[in-house]
Amino acid sequence: MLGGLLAAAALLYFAAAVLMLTHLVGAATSQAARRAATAGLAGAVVAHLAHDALRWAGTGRGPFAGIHEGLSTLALLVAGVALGLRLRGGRLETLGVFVAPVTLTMLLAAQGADARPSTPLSGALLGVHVGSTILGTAAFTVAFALAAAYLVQEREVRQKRLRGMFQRLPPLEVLDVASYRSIALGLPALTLGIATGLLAGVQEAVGRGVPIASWRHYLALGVWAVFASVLVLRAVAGWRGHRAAIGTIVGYASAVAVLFGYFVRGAGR
Amino acid sequence: MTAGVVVVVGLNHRTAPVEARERLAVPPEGLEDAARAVAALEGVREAVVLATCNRVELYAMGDETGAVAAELRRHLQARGGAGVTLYEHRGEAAVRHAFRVCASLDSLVVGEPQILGQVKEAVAAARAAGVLRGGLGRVMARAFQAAKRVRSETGIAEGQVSVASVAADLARGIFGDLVGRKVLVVGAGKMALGAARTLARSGASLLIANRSFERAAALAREHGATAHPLTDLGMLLQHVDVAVCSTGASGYLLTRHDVATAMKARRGRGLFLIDIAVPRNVEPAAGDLDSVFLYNVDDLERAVAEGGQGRAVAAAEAERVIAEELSAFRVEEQAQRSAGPTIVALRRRFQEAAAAELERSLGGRLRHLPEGDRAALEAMLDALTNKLLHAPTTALKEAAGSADGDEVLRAARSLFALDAGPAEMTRVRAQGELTPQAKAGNGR
Repeated sequence: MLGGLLAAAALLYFAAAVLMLTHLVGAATSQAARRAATAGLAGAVVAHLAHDALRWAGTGRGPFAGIHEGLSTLALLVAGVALGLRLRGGRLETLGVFVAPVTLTMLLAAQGADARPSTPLSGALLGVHVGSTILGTAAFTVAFALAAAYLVQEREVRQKRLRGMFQRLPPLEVLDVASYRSIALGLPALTLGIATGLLAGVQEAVGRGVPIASWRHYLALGVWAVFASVLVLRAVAGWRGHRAAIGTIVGYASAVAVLFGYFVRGAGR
Repeated sequence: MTAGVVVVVGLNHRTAPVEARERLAVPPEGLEDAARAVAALEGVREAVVLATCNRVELYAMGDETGAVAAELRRHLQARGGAGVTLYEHRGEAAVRHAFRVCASLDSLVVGEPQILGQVKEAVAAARAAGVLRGGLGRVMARAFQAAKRVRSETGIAEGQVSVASVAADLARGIFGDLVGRKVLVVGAGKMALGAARTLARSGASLLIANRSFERAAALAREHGATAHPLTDLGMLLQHVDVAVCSTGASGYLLTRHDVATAMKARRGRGLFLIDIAVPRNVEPAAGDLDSVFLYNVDDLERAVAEGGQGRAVAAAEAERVIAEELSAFRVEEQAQRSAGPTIVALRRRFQEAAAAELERSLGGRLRHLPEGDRAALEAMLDALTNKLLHAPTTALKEAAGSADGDEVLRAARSLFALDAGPAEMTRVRAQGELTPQAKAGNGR
């Protein structure tokens, strides 16, 4: 049952991504492709939600219990935002194109993640640590999608291609401001996640006599520093548009690198 | 004088980029001098210079088409057209080209309405310069007629996607909602004001900067905008979201450095620059700056043309109208050519008779007349000759194009003894057959 739901969710995410891409880059606006993409995304979210709920009921491990659950929850959260935007309509709905492949990758990666508890944290503190990190990463995923859309739309405007994608993607300034707001939302959440992670480091250091910060902490601080720089440079040096989008993508790439590190090196220190 | 052949040499948006066209640009106040310069070329009898942001074309009438075309080419190349691909049409192809240009079939945005007005301005300038008369003048008059028919009989101008609407779409694609945005119009061009007005309808506020502050103030009153002197341009650029430039300045009004300076003060806020002037007002390199989006006239019109591909059917219909007009013009010209010698002979006959009678009177009974009265009498006779000849001239032209044209022309030549030799004419004149009134007057 769980395997069937997971396969259905993965297939529907993939189909939705392809359909949304067809709709975005197609020469003519195909309303059928648009509706099918929304239906596919909705189906994927429902299957994904059902899978996670059944697993919770079966194992007793909640959405923030560990990397396995957290990553799946992150994917669900991001897909939910994309679905919400599509159902609301308007040009922001095209963001699903950039979000769906990321969601699919996260969902599949979650299956390979170590299901054991990753930190010495437990109870409410573990929930806060994983939850805030997931929320921050979800916000950064949305910011990444907006930044990627900005670069595509900017290229269309600069190359004077005013049909097709130009007409379906959101205005540049809307993308820029929305990306900024997503980072502004995600950064405090990530800060909380890193702080609780460092607390776990302190607990471990005290108990086992090892250094407080591990390689994961340094990488997470690196991600934090990149996104914080994007915000600071925007406020201080007028970094907007293209530069801000590049900064956001670099920040997100480093966040993905941290997540990747979990799989390569394991969840421990 | 022979009928002459029309030649056109030029370049347009299809054959030359805006960088090349702006080198050959002629401001509206320079059209008369430009036409005079072309008419002064060897072998050229009449000339019209058409210079718009999309084309520079020299229309000329001369006898040796090859030589005239070569002269026109040399003329354009010497004025900045070196290395530019020039096209050339001769005879009926040149007439057809003129018809298509006037009817906006050769425009980048097929069906756009501005071109007809621009050709009319070029023709008026050539006429004012005294270098446009009956030959090329007839071609242009017929071209206007063809353009009028195309506009009224085909749907070519319907659903026109304008430069203004594309500019507004672009602004929305960059900024989203335009409410509260500021749009600066630099210069007082019609197209720039049109684009700015479209943006204003979406909620943007207008600012107008012009070299003449009085003109800016007058336009600002008319459009509910605020007026600014052109010297404030740098400061204005720091605050507006869109700037539409259309001044007649020959150099760049805004360099990359100017825009970069403004962008520093704007702290990276996006700036949309629309440069619809030719020569261009904004240095192209300014468009490479971060968050600066620069569109020139070619960029906008290409976007408009892409939006108007659905008018292909109307354009085909318009081509049919052009073919009909061309055919009618051909018949008229043929008639003009066959009636021409008869009309010229008739006019010469009247003028010679009038001159002979005037000479005889002034040497006889009217010998006492002072110089001023003599000139007045001569002018009166000229006017009378023209008046008397107007109706038969028109009738002969019309008849020449009809089925019984040859018969009418033969009758006219016979009635007025136009084929009579000099000796016969002396006899005729002596008998006073053509000037009975004059004869009676002299004999009193």
